[in-house]
Amino acid sequence: MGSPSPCWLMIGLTLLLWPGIAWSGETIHVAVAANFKPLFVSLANRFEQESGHTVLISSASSGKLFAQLQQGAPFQLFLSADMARPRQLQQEGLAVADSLFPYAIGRLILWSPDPKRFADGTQPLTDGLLNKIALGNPRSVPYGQAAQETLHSLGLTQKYADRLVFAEDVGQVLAFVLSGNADAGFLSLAQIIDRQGNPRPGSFWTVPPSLHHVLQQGAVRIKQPKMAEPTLELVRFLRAPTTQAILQQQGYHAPPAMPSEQP
Amino acid sequence: MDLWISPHDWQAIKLSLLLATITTALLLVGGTPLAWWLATSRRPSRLWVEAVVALPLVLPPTVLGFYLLIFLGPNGWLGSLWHSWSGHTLSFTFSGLVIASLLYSLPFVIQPLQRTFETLGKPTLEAAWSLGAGPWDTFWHVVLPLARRGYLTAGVLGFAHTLGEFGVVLMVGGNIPGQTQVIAILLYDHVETVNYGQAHLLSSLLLGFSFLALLGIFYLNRHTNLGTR
Repeated sequence: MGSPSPCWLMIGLTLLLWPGIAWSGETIHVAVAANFKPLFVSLANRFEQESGHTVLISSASSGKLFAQLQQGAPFQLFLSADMARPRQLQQEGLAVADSLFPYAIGRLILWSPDPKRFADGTQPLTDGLLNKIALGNPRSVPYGQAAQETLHSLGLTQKYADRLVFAEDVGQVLAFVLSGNADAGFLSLAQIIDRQGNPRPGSFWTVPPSLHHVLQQGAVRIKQPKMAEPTLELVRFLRAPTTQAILQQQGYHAPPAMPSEQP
Repeated sequence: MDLWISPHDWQAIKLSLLLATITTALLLVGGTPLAWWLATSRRPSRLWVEAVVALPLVLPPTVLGFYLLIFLGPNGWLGSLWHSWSGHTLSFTFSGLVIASLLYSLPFVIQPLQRTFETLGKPTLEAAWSLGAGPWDTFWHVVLPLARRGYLTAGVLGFAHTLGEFGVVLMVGGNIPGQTQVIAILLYDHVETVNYGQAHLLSSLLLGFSFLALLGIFYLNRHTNLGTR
């Protein structure tokens, strides 16, 4: 058998390179905090259709992504669940100066798949009725830190000291609760709202925001040699009124406007 | 050295050592009948059992962890059984971790034992029987002493393997200090929160221990015979 005819080689090469050829746009790598990921996937789809660019999403807890970025992870945009980590990246010179902006305000809830758990008038948390509560690891998950603050504000830290289960991110919190291994979990409201705006079957307690730090979620552009312009396009897309309207339907509040509006 | 190992780290080390000890002991004792059966049985079902026992060797730990998340949970078979028996849930507890580790390290104990029993050879057993030794007697006084090195190998392998358990614990552990926060999980935690000093410490401890364990095993088995004279 002789070597394949050049015709087949050309076809093979074309098929291999097709993804690169077909998309005339650029590829933007985005690091997204776990709570925002499901919504961001659908937002990114719309952005891709409108702009012709491709968005590659990596998701984990804010702390994990922050640590990766400090080690040179190749992301162009970092959507954290807090402001502190993006701010520190700016201070360390890893992020573009003055590119920090809040993209959403998160809501912390205590959720259970049992519709009767948080029925009107019941206070299972303060009544000490929950056997196991899942929350994100406060060291690396901003929503987990807010959960810990909530328990502290309510004076329940001692009572629940040996009933807490720590997850890697809010996604794993949901997994622990859905599988029944934890009675309830501290999640972001956005996680239990589907794309049509309907909540998952279950019940929850909306944690009064005064009990924890403001879950102001910040985004920052990372200093990278390429993709500056497409990344800016994505940033503008995120801050557009249409996107903000979607955010508010999906469990977030609109962020305050930054004093210095830098594009 | 003591100045650098925080109480938190010590807790994880002690927990891992306890977990590895209990798991290895249970596997050595409970695994002996299974290994013996695998070594001596000629039934066709042996093939299937061997494959199941070897499964944790190739199965991604996250797969095992995922299934355990379901089965140890209140809706799972084992979880609900445990709950009705003890009133507590199995997930996120040390007991749950022991069960996970038993599955995770199963082949690392069973297989060396099985190989050892296989190399004992019929003639030795038949010699014992022809001299009037009953099955128990044969096992205690003939098989076990000859299988000494196999037990040592199985024990060291099982222990070292359980000590480094990570993926499974990440899925079902809940990262609870004193209950499920084993060394590898705490190490991961340190790396994720950029505590590289403590990460280096735990890491080198595990590396050193694993290497010594392997060195020990290879030294034990430096002759090709496993326990036979």
